[in-house]
Amino acid sequence: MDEKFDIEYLEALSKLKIDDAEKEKFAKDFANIVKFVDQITQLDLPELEDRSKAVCLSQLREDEVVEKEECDVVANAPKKKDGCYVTPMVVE
Amino acid sequence: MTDFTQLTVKELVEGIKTQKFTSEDVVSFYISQCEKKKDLNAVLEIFYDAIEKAKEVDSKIAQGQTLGKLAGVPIIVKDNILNKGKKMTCASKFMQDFVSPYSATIVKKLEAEGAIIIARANMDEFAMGGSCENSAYGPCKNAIDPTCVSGGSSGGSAVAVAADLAPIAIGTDTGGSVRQPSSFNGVVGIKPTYGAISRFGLVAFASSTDQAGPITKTVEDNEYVFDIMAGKDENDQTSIELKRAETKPTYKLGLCKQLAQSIKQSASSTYFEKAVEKLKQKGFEFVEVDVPHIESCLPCYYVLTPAEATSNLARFDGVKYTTRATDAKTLEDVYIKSRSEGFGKEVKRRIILGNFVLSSGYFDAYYNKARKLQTWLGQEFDDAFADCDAIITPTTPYTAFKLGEKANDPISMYLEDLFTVPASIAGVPAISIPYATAENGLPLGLQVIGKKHSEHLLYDVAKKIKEA
Repeated sequence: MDEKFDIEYLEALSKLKIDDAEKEKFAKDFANIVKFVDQITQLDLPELEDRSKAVCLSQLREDEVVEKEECDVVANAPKKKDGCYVTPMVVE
Repeated sequence: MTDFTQLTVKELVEGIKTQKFTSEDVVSFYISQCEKKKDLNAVLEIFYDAIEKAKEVDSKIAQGQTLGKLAGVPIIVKDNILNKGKKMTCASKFMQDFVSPYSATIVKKLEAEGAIIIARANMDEFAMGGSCENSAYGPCKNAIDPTCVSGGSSGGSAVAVAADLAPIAIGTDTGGSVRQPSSFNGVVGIKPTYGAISRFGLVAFASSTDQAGPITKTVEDNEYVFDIMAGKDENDQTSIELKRAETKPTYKLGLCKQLAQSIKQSASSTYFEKAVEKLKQKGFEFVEVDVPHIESCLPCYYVLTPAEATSNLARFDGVKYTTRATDAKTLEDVYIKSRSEGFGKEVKRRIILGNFVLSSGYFDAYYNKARKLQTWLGQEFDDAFADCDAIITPTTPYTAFKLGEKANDPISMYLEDLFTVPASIAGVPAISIPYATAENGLPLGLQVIGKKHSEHLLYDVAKKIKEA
């Protein structure tokens, strides 16, 4: 692969900004990493029929109501009020 | 006075239970070690209430109460494992104020057996890294040579055991994060079968390869602690009930044909060849095995894990449990500014890489291909284990490198994981044991990889290798 990456687009998808001062080095490193991982795109792998070979399979259970340890979910929020998260207003 | 550092975990428990010494003695000793060796930067916080907990254990023993398998023994846990009421930061400034609202299943299991957590260990931020230099709280230094890296991401945990800050430490391993720092510091660390140890209460990095594992000085101690940590957990749908593998009087060890060249080119090569020769003389049988796509594991890993990390780290958004940028005006601003200020460089790099491989037009070529390779690898390892009991490799291509040496070269840092990543991708267990000291005086680890559920066989192989 040899192309310019649209870092701004990836920043937007990631909800992140790279410092302007670091952008050039970031883009260079990023291009090298993509070149490195690109080799897997060349592999020709037949489909494996047996799904049980998958490394990580969730074992499903009945959807039952169970008692869990009480836990204050908003305790660590930077801004909270009456058990709710506080954010800037999202509706006009 | 007893030198606690010379005792095995079982001997420590026995000594505490028979009142040869007290848990308070042991815990106070290890806390003082953490204080004395704080320059290593292996621990981010000491929990001084551990001394009170030790006194409680001692008083229960004096009253004749029956206590668990780790009664009064100090443990250090990595800073990405929830420990109720205690701070947990993932070595990130983004999580600097986070207090665990509940405990991880493994913390509960260890504490149920009487273990006392005395500190939280330094790590690469969000477990992303192989040198512990990505910690927002400064790098952890190697226990043998403090001018070198500790390895990572569980660098603090490995150094804690090697430098006698605790007899046991818990790390997490996504692509080698327990095994590589164990190798760099001359201690024993295992990455168990995927699902063998509950992930409930661990901060997720890459959910399809994350596994916690104990780090100890001896193989026996490691097995003892592993048995306490393992087991199915109703809070982790991917956890499994581990079967106990049968041990054998002698073992046939596999040498992976496709790794031969990489091993030969590595600095570990001479030491590894010597070890193989010695083991042959001591009665181990060797056979060449094929794992055809093993060398594709590393690029596969750097597609899969950033993709999973991108999703897992979306929850760190400046709203729920991180710091929030002070000048954010809109919700979008809150997300972007908080995440940009909060995450370190490597974490940002992996989130962006993850979004790239998941983005429209690239998803099939990268992510789907990597996922397919992951399943395929599981099959290839199964086939290889039809011909041998376990596969051995060096744990790392090199000994610990100098602090700062690879900090600006991500690819060279990623190549550190060459031998450890395959077992993570395939979900099979692998243990690192110290086996040689290189000319530079630093230790090298030998990695023993087994098939799923073969932990007890691996421990037996490791014991026999140590005896050889």
